[in-house]
Amino acid sequence: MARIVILGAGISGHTAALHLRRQLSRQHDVVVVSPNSKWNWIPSNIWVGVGKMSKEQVTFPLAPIYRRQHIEFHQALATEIHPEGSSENPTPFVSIRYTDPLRESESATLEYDYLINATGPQLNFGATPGLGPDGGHTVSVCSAAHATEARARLDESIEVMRQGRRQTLVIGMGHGTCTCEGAAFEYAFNVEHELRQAGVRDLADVVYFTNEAELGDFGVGGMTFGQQGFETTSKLWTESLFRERGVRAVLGAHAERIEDGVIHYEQLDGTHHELAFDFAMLLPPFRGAGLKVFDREGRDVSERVFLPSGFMRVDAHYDAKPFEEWRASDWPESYESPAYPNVFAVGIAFAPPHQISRPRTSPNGTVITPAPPRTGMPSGVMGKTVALTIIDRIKMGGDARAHHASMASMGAACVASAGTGLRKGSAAAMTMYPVVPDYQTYPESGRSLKDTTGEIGLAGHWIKFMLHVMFIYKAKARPLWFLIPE
Amino acid sequence: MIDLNADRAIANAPLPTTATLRRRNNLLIQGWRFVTLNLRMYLMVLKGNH
Repeated sequence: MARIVILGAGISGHTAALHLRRQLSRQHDVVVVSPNSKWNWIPSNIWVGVGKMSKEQVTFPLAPIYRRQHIEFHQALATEIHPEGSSENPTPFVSIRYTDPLRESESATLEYDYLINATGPQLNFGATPGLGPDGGHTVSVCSAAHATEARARLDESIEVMRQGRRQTLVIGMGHGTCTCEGAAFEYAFNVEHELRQAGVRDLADVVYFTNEAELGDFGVGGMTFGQQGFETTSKLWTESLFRERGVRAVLGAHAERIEDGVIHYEQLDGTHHELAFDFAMLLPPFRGAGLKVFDREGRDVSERVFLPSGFMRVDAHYDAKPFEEWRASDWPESYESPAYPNVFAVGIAFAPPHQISRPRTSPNGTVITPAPPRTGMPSGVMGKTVALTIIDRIKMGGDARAHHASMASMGAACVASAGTGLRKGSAAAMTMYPVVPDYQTYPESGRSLKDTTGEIGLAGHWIKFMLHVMFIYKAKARPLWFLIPE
Repeated sequence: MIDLNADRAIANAPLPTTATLRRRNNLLIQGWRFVTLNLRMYLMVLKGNH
């Protein structure tokens, strides 16, 4: 009998749990620890943020699904990993603190044979003074609750415009090292769409505020598409959409601090500026979950397992080297911890070896570079891959070869909504292969020109909505859920 | 303060023609694009061996 503990029930952790449970007999335990009681299809939060969906449409309670699937669920926060057990008992275990209202402030330990760290990000609003909805001056769409609040603030702004007063709406990134530029891009264009629907577009200045050096970077260094016999770039393509929709941009920006109605920021050229706003949705940078690791004697060995950012070291090449020497092979394939081979990290929890976009620093030494995205499709693929490795090792022995899923050999589809509506909706549908450029295989642009594509239209909106329906169906483990690819 | 370099880049970007904008909302064309885009995404997933 084996016991697999999964920390986190987001896209990667939940995917891993469902695949493990489906392919392992009941004599094995699958245990999920998550501080949240609900699963959230985060890509649809932007629609909650403009009032096109309710919080209930993008979330559902995890406990009933896990009960039906015979997965043990603890609504709790993991605090410590003891991969060597204790001096009395060598069985590895994790320490948890319950967030379940019925067991609040209780603690417990859970023993494991295999551990998957899928804890996702800690939203680091504290990195920029004044950022965020809790005591700050900006809103967020990182969670369904945040998005609901963003929608209320947006409605207030629209109401002011209906009374004839101009408003400046700033949407983007709250720090120079943020990731998820795609989500901010989507929210900016959905807000712009809503302003037009509300008949107040002429009274709004919509500004996309980003750490990207160029539009269309999206944290992946931009894309080159093959289109009608020409190569074109995501930069040109995105700039065209900004021009068409009258959205302005501030590029290469690091928000230094935010006061009521003003963003103080530095740009890549080292200059400092202020941007006044009436409504601002700025995403925070991410940190790891802050887990501590202890050896058998109780010594803190967290630095052996985690990078200072709080993300877990896996089978990647972490040696520092210049951008020109970055290789696709630097990226992890099996997501195993080199320190403890029965421990894995997937989704945002694993430490990427370096950015995907070219790293940039201002003359003042401020890093202004998007962190690599590793959400959505790649997260689900990693979760499934690690689940398959563990299944093989349980069934065939601990030496079974690990399954591989490097972001340098994995494609991704990114459907960025630019407005909702069955007839009037629009989205930028992009595919890229691979996610991490591989200049050895694809010398021209690092990616396959045939498989890296982008187009804007109503079909993209239908796809985005279809993905919303399909992935919630899959996450609820409805009949034949496993036929839906990650 | 707004980024003048970004403003310049956006101002120089190509604008879609009226015909392109119409195509982006035409139900027949978009129905076809829906099918082909889904197929393309599915093939890409297969190519990644997931």
